[in-house]
Amino acid sequence: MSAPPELKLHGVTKRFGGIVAVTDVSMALTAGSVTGLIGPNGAGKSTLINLVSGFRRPDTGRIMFADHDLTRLDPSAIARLGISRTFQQAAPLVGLSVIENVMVGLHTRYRSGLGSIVLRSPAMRREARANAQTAYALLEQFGLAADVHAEASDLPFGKLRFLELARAIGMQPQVVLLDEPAAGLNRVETDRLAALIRVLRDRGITVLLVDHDVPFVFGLCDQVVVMNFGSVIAAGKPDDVYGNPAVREAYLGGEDQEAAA
Amino acid sequence: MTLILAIGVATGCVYALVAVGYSLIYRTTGVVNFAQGSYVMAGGFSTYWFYEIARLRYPIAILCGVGVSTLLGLLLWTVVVLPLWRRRSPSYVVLLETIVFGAIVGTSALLLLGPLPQTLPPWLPGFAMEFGSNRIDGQYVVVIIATILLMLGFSAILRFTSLGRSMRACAASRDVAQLLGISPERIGALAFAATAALGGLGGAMITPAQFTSADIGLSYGVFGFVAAVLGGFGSLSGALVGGLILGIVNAFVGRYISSSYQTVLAFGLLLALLTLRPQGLVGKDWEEA
Repeated sequence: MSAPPELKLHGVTKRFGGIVAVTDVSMALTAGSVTGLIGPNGAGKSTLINLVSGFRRPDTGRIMFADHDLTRLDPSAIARLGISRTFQQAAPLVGLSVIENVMVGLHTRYRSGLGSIVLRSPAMRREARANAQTAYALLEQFGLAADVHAEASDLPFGKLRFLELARAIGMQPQVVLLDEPAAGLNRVETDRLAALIRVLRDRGITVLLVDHDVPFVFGLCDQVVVMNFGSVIAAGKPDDVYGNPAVREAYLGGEDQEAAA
Repeated sequence: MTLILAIGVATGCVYALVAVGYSLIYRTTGVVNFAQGSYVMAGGFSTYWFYEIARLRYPIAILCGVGVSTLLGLLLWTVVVLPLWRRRSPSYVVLLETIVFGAIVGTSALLLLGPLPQTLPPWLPGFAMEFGSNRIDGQYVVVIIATILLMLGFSAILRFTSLGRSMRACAASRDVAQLLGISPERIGALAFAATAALGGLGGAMITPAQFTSADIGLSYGVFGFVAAVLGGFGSLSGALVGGLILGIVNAFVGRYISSSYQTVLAFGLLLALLTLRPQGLVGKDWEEA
């Protein structure tokens, strides 16, 4: 498998009414690296993820993935290019079982034509079986093997997070955007999440990790980007960023308060 | 008595096909499509045109009739609904546009084919069923059996195919579906085409048993909507239950009281039920149906 392309943001700005949520942000996510994105509430982190995944369009600036200008694409096209994401609020597909939640994403990567779906061609049957097996293997890896046929919306909170992650990985993405994946997880679950993120990196998947849990982010990331009031105020290796006075001022000083929130 | 029951069940089946259309469109796109009834008219009336005027063989005429109705559904989606949808127009605007579209379809049919009611030959000539001294027109039986098969097939597609999974994903959350690479616009087009085909087939099936005319779209649209709400908006089995109840009540009211009371009674039934059970009779989630 060739290395996935770099994801680059050039001078991205997004306003909501009079409020500037993201101001002239430029950054590059090196292929196969884990980048942490931290900052106080309202710093623009989630907006940034929404911009990259196409749920919002930037007012100015470009977001490039290989030769594709993502700012022109809708979310489903961006997902099919190999950029998947999770939501801050776990969002299971209600009415679908756990395994179906994962299979929906698998199918969009190996799409049978409409004709063969309607005709139930042998190729399509094989593909459906293979999909079910892939989905099961994935769920097993995420500790959900016992829940495959449960209603997704009946899962407890921690498991929902892992389902969401499994669903994102099921799309065989080259880039995963994780919006506060550790929020609400207990210690054991957080460790498990960290281990899974390392597995993703080892497979060459580029990860953008937004989280409030500073030790969690610093322990995992190759690169850390700090945002405050919509702008990038520091970026670099975790150790360098940790020592940066502007960062300590803007964010790390408020760490206890953030952790309690 | 048996005959009236058969008429009620068969018309109820067509209401159910329309009701499934309302549900599927609403769940996958969030649109309440009041043009749903005009597919019944378009399917029946254009089958009549292809058979009696263009002189095609009957099965081919039926296929063409259903094709016309399917194309109408696609036209409604691409030309009318999708542009509004992309602009995130308020839902009452979209709803109004679907009513306008249905009216245009009805008026066009009136101009093209005239105001006279028309009918078609039965699908299985000479087929009828005897219940004691009652003889039931075979076409009613055709409608009932075909509807059951269509509903079963439809729910199997939703349940067991990846296409059906994508539709259910879209119904659960359009945002998440997009994130999983599903294009809600494509699913919307499929849903509009599929429900138009269902409605059109309903029209082609019921016409030999009754008749069709340019203005029946409105009443099928209204009764189909009432059936969908009665059963629990969004539920497949609810659509069937709602359609059957409404069809049977209508048939008996029409026979023993007066057909001019049908609408009043249908709405009375609806009001009473919604007061007692706001979620409808079945009222389960659409995905579980």
